[in-house]
Amino acid sequence: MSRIADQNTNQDSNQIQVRHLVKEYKRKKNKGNVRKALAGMFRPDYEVLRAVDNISFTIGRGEAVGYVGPNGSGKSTTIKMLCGILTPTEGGILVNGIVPQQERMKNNKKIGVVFGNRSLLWWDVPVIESYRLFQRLYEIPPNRFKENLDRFTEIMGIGPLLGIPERQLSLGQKMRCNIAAAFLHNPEIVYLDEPTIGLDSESKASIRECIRRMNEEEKTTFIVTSHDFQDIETLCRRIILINHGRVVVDDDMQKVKLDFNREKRIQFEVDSNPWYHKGMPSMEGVRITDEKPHSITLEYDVEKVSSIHIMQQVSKLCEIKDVAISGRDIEAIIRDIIRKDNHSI
Amino acid sequence: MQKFYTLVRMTFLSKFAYMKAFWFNIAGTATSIFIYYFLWKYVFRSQESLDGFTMAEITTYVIAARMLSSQFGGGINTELSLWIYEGTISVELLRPVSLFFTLFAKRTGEFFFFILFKGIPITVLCTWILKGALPYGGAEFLLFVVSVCISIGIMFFMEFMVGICAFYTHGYWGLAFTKSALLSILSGGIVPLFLFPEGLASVLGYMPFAGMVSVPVQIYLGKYDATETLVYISIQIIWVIILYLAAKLFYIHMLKKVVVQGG
Repeated sequence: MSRIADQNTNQDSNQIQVRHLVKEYKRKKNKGNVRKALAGMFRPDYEVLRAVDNISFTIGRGEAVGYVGPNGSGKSTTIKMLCGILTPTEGGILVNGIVPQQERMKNNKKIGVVFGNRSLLWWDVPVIESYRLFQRLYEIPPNRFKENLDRFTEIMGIGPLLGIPERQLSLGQKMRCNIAAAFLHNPEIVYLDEPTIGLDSESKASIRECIRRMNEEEKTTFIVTSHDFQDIETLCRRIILINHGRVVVDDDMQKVKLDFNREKRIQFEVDSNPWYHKGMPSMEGVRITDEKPHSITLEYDVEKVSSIHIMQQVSKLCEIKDVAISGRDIEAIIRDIIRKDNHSI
Repeated sequence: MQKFYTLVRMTFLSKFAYMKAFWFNIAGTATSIFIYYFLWKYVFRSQESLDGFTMAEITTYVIAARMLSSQFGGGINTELSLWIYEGTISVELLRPVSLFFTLFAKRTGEFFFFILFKGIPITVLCTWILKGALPYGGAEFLLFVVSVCISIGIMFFMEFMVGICAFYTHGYWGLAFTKSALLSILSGGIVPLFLFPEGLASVLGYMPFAGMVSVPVQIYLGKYDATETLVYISIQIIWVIILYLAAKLFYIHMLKKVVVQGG
């Protein structure tokens, strides 16, 4: 009893609780030859695939979390379990104090879900009709419905699309309509599974803007999976990185960047490259990644060598016309972490 | 109730999107009525009546039976199978109402669309052109309407179970085709049940299939007396309840499978 009370008081900081989550799929084994395949028709061999392997995390109200990892790392499986449409093999999930698998309808009313490759709308009818249906199904009061409709029509720029059936919309238009649909009932949590897959930069921008505003203004909790790191970087303050079904990193985005961003890249535009075709004298912690007659690109470890030192060295031998220093972006960092993680197994 | 109405309305709107296909659907049913009509006309060249049916009554039987059984080609089973097959079912499970409810509303919408835009106009038109028999009486006509309405339940639950079979077959077209063919023949949609061998005919009479075509049409033609009508309608209702329970079990089983295997 005391635990339940405890959970309620902590609901703001523990809106989503995931404890030792495991999901195993049984999959029929692929057969090497026809005879074995025939035998398998009657007595199939199964192999167990551990898609999610002991994942735990807690997400508080109003957080925006980027849930990232390579293909097949268990992202969508986790999202589906959080939504309540997939049952964990082991472990527990608590969303807003309820187990989504046990009280699916109750949970459905409080969440919004967007799948980048699936639509929530009715294919044959004008978009607005789908929205009106949502109004009824989610029991949205007319005033609030109108307010929300106006608001999202404006943010997503879908005013002219409302009268068109979904089947006649382009991918980007469809997605924008779907995002708006997910917000109409003021969900407390919105799950986005690859929301910007295959979209142009303008559609991506309006989707990001919408999510950012909802997160700031309504304190809506977001969990976003994406392979587009710009999505994650602009939207999420926290990042959960999974690989082979396990959490590799769960931390603040800025902190991840600082911790893992020891490598920087410096690019010089010069009058003539003194080392072109000759090779550069070795300098500790510096790697040459690209050289052309008039430009040099170097990568270096900030803990071993400073940017100023490199610049001084280069300026001794040629005239520097322009210089650009960049930290590696989160995508490169993640790639590195994953590579290291794969090695350690 | 408002949710139900809105879902029914959605189905109507979706149907309107395919009006052109619907005209062809109507043309197809009308053609099949004419074909069966001429076949029967040939039979009646040498006799006045068949098992108590006059040519006018058989004409009406053909019109109503072809009409009602033309629904077997549609139904929600294809949709449900496709959801399972393509994995869209996960989206449907995220709706704030149950899958069962959504599909039943959809089926009801389809049924009323069918009655309004196909059933009534074609029946009236064909009865007039082919000189079919009119309903036996006002009471019979009302009971016919009642019986047809009950048959939505029978059809829906059967379609629901057929749809779920996609889980095991990993396909949908064969299922839909088999269902349509079997229901057409077993319900008396192609040949009146009384022309089947006697034993088979009486068994089929008590099966749920008869409730979808044979029973309502026989009531319409006044072939049942008051007690028989009551008995057959009661059988229909009993089947609705049995099929509902069976469909519910199937549904629970399917849900378990979806949420365990991930569709």
